[in-house]
Amino acid sequence: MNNDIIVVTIPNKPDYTSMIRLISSSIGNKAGYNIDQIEDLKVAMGEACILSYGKSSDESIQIEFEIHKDKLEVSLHWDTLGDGEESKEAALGRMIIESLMDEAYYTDEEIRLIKYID
Amino acid sequence: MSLNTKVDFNYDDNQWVIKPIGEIDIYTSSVFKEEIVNAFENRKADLVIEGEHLEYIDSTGLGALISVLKMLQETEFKIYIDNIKPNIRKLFDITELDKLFVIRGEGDE
Repeated sequence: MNNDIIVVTIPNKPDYTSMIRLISSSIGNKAGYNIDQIEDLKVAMGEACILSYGKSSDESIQIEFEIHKDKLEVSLHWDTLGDGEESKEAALGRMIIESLMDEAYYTDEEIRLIKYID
Repeated sequence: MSLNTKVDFNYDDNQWVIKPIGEIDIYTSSVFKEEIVNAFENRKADLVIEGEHLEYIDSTGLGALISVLKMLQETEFKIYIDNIKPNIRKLFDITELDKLFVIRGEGDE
């Protein structure tokens, strides 16, 4: 499972979040995580999608999963930063992400998350 | 899986019992909140969230519970969260909402 890349593009709509959670679980399983780690990835990805919807004004969001030998790296990317205010729950979302993933980076166009594989 | 919420008034204990079955997420949380608010406005009483069949909650679902809690704080009534699964409990702990809500269940009694 060396450096395999999976790319998914979803409409910028809440409707597809559950699909990304399912895909994330499946990829986490492929990457070799245990059940708890898969759950963590799934939950963090749900939150990352919610943050992305809040930030992007594009019609779609690109999600890229890179499976490396020692880690899974996920990026959620969009081109245009929206002008909406951050929701009250965004802080909760970031707390959840940062607790469940090993590394988290946020920019105006991207959220990048890393979780190591034991 | 989406969400199906059963809302019943328990006359013996004089409280609302709200049983979410499935997932409270960005897609379902606003309806979930609406159902609770409607019930409470219909009859003012304590609220019990029976979490036995709640499989997943995200930050918007937690936000919905926070706004219900805030609504109740202006009244004499309370909200209790019962029997949530460990994966859900973990999110309350991470976000420190365990300090804000009364969470009851096997592990807490």
